[in-house]
Amino acid sequence: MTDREIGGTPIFEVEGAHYAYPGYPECVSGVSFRIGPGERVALLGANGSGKSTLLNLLDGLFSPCSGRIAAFGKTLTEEALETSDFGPRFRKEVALLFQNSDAQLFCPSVEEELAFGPLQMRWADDEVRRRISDTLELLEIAHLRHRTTQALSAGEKKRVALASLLAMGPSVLLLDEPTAGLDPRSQAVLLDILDGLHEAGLTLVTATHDLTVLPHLADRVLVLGEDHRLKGDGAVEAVLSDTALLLEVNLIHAHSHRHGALLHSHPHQHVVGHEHGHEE
Amino acid sequence: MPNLPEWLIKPPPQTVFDPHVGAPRRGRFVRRALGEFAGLLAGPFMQRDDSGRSGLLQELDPRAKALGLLGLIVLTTWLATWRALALDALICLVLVALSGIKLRRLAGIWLAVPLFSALLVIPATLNLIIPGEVLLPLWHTGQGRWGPWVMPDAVGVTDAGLEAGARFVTRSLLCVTLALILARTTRPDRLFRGLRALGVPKIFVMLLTMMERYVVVLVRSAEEIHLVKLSRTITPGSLRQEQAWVAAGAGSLFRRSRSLGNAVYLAMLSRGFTGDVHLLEEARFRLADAAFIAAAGAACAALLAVEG
Amino acid sequence: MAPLWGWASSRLKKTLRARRVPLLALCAAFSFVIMMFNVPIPGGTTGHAVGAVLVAILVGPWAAVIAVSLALIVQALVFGDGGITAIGANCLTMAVIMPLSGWWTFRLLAGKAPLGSRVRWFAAGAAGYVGLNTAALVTALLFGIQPAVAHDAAGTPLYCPFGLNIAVPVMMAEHLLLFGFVEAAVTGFAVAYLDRAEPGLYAADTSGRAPGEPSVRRPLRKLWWVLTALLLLTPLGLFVPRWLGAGSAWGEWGAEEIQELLGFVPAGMRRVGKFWKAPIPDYSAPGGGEGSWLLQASWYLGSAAVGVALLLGVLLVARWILARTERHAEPA
Repeated sequence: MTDREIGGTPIFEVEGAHYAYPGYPECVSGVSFRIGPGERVALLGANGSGKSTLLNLLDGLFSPCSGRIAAFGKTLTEEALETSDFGPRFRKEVALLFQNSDAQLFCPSVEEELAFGPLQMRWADDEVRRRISDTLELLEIAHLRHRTTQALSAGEKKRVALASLLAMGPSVLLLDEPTAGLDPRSQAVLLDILDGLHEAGLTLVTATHDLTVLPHLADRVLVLGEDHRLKGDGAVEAVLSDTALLLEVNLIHAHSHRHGALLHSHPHQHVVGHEHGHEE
Repeated sequence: MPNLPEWLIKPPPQTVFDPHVGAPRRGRFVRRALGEFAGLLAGPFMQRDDSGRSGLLQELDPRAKALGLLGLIVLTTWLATWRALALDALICLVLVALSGIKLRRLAGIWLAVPLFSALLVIPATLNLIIPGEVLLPLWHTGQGRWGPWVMPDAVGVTDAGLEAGARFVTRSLLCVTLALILARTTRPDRLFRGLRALGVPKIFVMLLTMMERYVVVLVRSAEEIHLVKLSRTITPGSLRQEQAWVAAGAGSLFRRSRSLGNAVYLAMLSRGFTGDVHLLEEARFRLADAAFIAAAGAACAALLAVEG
Repeated sequence: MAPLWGWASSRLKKTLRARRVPLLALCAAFSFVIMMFNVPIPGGTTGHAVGAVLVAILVGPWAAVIAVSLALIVQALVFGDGGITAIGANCLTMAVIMPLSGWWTFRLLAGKAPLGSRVRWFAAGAAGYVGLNTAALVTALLFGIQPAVAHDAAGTPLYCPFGLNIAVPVMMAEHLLLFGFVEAAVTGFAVAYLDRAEPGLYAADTSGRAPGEPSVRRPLRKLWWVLTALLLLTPLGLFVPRWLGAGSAWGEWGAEEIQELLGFVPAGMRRVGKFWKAPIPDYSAPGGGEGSWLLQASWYLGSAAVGVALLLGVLLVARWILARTERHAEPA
């Protein structure tokens, strides 16, 4: 397990965090890492490894049962988030894109959805309207302004959800399986947008189990095992070529499959046209 | 390859089920007919038009519509003289014309409501309920006592009864028409926002809009649950079993509602929600909105005057 | 109704207030949707259950009051079925009386029975039955008073034509004999299912506290005021003097709305198949004759008050019994 050199104040500091939902076994078991400003980090793990929970912890939605999580140098506790200056500032700076867009879009129309965050920040009405217009332009969804949120396609929902976060002007984006359930074109659009945001200096933390989009989403990968511990921390290329690690954490598999007339079994992942050589 | 059980590989020697077992033969036709009839009556109410069609009323601010139309509805339930009801009907027709709602759609309602209301009050037209002069005698019972009850000479439809029944039916029809105009020219979330004009607190509006937004999600969930069961059903079970199944479906739906509710809470929390509700301020009233309210007010005044 | 609302607002816990908003909204959506479920009833047709008692058992009575009220309001406004002036009355019967009476029945019968035991689902069924019939009784009372209170000079009823001697027996017969059992079945089976499928459900529900415990006031207070206002709106319709005498504001749509939602098979189905079986009334005119407006109004008030008082009395006794037998409040 390597810990990279972080330049400047870390955005997130996680030290020995444990979490279990009430009545259920632990899903985060003693995880520690740091994330610096401007980084693109992926939380990689199979389903059930605790990555979504970890994102929720980073967003201050839950408090760890033991251990410490700090953001911008301040430990995240319920009291800290209820204080009148740190709380709203934190909520503005850190935004979480949920996996379930239906849960994220809880306002009746797109316009109101984008307005929700800014209104919670108690900004003036014309400031709120300006942000709505600008964000709609940015994500090219101005034509959806007056639509009801339930009438949108999956790709549109994701973009509106992202817009509703960006309207608050965050500096950190946490993304929970952002490409899940999206058709290829919507995926491409989303990845482009995220690229652009990264160029603009945003810190991105993405939870995913999809190895194919991984190189597009992150430079650094934190690998979570099925035992809910951190199993690896390194650059994307290094992690992706560490087949043994990937097999251990159930991100790739080995099962019998055919190549022409040959039936064999070896670790692989299902990607379009996976390339490897073998003896005939 | 895992070892598959034999019954999965080979079909059973003879068919195991009989599609006719369990479904009572008698009364199936009647049941179906009744079901269709019920569907006919209930159908018009289940349509949810998006207020996308063109019409004057669609353009108005929902607050103006809420004030004006709700006021008219409340007043309508008070009216008792035929003069006033006639004027009310006229006002209704004008509003229908302004709303751009196709008459075809309303026709369903205008059939269903009087039918339904009439059925409800038919017994009231008899002189058993409302005393009065018998217009249409139905059968002669002969005066006398039946147990504790005193019987009239003939049982029949009375004039007073007919009038009461007719008033009932007319008023119902007018109320429903007005309510439909409001509902069909206004998108639900805007309608709830419009209630702010009536002094409804913001949190109420937030609850209503959020609730409406998720009803569709839950309905789809419920349908899914139902389809799963349907796809596994060959013959219907006993009444008890079927009822238990519906209830289990409700329970299952509750679990989804709860988990969705929790997820929504986290999403709201993440965007800075602390419990106070802030709504985006609507644009100001325009001339047309003020004019509508004034017109509605005038209509109410006229109705009251005519009522006497 | 005002005292009940005051109780309600003091039950909700302040610190859970923010969390409550989406949960209540979803709860209301849930209530709305289960009202649409087709439940098979004897005779081969289907009916609807209200589900208010089920919601009360699942999330607590006070949250259920709000949830069911919201569902009813949305039905009236969005479906445009004209039940708008009946909202207050419907809320009274289905959103207040039904969940509260059902909840207390459940607590009385289920007590500390362990999750998954038969006692619980029997209690749930009984609670559903009691809740629905209590609501039906109050509805019948409110109905049946109409002819006495609102009629023209000739004695012809202006609004609801059926007097107490018809309204009560008819409504009660249908609900005691049929729809009560449907409601009981849905409530009982659903609780049985959830007890087995998700035992953790009750540990973290929205009500936060069991009835009887004091809690911080003032959350969602405005909500309660609005509901109170709605409730007062419709009976107030009876009290505002019309030029010709006392008038009622809800009679007719109260009928269809309530009957439809209290379990009658959708739109007209029952009407078609059913012959009126009302007991034949005395030939003489129903109810008291003309009187001054004040007399009529006070007569209405008196009857309604008696009905509600009886109900409250029963519920208070139940609570007293509960409080005596329990040392600590359960986590619901």
